[in-house]
Amino acid sequence: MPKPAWGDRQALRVRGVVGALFLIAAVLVAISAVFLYFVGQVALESNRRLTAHRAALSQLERFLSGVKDAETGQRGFLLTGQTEYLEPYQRSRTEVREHLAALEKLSATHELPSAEVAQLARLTEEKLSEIEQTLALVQAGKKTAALEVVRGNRGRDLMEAIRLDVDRLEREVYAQLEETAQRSDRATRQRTLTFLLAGVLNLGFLGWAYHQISREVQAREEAESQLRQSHAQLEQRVAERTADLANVNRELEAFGYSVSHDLRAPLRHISSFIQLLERSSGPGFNEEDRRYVRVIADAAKRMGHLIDDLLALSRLGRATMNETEVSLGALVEEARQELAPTVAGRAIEWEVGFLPTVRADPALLRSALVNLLSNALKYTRQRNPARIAVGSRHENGELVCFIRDNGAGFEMQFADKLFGVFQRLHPSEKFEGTGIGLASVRRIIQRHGGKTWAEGEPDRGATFYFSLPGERVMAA
Amino acid sequence: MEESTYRVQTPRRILLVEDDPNDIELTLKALADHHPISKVDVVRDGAEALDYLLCRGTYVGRSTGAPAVTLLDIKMPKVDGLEVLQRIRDEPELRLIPVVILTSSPEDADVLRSYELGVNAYVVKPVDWEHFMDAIKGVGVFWVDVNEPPPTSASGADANAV
Repeated sequence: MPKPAWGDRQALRVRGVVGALFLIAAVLVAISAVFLYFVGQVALESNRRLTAHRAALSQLERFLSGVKDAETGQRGFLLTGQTEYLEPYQRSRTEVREHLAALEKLSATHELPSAEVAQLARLTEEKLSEIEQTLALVQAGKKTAALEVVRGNRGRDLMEAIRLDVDRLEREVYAQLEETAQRSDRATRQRTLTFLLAGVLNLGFLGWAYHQISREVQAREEAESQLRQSHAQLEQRVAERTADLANVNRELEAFGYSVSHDLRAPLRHISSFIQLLERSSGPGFNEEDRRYVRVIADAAKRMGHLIDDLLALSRLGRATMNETEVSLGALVEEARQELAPTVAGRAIEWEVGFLPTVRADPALLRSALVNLLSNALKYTRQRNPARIAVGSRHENGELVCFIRDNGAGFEMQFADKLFGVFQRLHPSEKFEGTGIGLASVRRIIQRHGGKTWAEGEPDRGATFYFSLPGERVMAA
Repeated sequence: MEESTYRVQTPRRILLVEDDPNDIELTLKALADHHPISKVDVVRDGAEALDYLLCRGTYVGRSTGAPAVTLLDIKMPKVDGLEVLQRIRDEPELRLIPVVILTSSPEDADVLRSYELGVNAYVVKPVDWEHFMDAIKGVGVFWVDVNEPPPTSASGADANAV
């Protein structure tokens, strides 16, 4: 069962499927692009956050270290009373306040809990003022009072509170850092998954689409090759049929030849012995008997003519064509001269128009023209004058020649029979002939690649046409 | 000097090689108008024709010499006319004898082949009796009375008369 051919419905279906697949793939790509965009945004955000977290941690660390430095300064000064220890304290104090300011800024961006930072600030100020107090006492020479303050542990408690706060704040930041890191990881995982999923799905859809397309292309290729094959088969069959036809033609012609050939001998016997009979018993015959004998003799004679004509016709089909350039006008002239003896004493008006030079077998064409002209002359015997016109014209790339006469004509309904073998449309008493002439003409013209046909009207004359392929006409 | 005084007059015979009895009858009738039947020998096929001409087989001892003309049909059983012609022309003794093909076939191929094999004349048997008779009579008169056959080398043949 042959696969259905590449039809319109099939094409539409495939286009639909493939289109849908591509559309889905496109949509997938769009979705994943959007998704990845947002994931990207999250990643950026996470990065920013991480930076902020690290900044916060660093600030806290530096802040604490600042506070420790301040304490160290205070301790130094308390111990030694030397102003060199004041310098680090003052520097630290500035730095601590700067760090605090930074921490406060961070709390403004919600990086750090503002309450805690505020508390830290308060504690820090208290610590610093405690330190200042001790320093001032020392500077005033009241070292013992300063030590009393220190022993009061307020400074130590404050420091402890600050450390705790810082610690708490750090833990907060770490927690946030953890969360941010996780979010970033998740985002990365989502991105990878999206890539994979979208990629796989897209590949899947595209692969499916490709499969569909390639399947239909294959189907089309198969259909095409089947078409080519059946075309080749058709061509071959045509060639075979043509060869068969050519064979049949040849066989028919060979048959016609051998039959007419083998019929001659018995025909000769009939004809000869009937004449011998007439010679020997004739004197004793009555009128009727003599008539019988004559009928037999005439019939045999006529049969001889028919056989000769058949032989000639079959030869026409088998003879090799010797093609050369020949002037149709000259051939018509030769035909007229050949027929001149048969029309001695008759009044005939000839009208010969332009007839070009063609590539053809001169002997065959001359024979055809003789047949056609002799026909025209025969059927115009009753006319005085007989008018015969011969001419040609170009039509649809062919050369069409005509022979027109004003003779007995014929009925158009029998026009096809005219060119048949032994076909006659007039009784033999009126016009003699075996009816082979036109069949010969048709065969000759056929072998030249042309066609023959005729038009006529009873008692109003007839026109016989034959065509030759344009390629046979020589320029001018 | 007239040639006839120096030539031995041998009765000239015709050899008719024909298988169809009707055609034999018609040909003999036509020839009889001018020549007595007894001067015509008839053989029914090509093999017999060669036996006759070469004086062998059933014709061993034939002493009538080469015929003035051999009328040869083409379509015959066993050995056909053209083959006989070829064999005749191949035989040194028969190479020169006059042979006329007498046949129904006007086919160009047969005519060409016959002349290529060296036939002296090719006659197509007319269908009409009158024409047939004229043609056969003409052939007989020409080849037997008018034409000079090639001189025979066999001395024995000259001596005998019919």
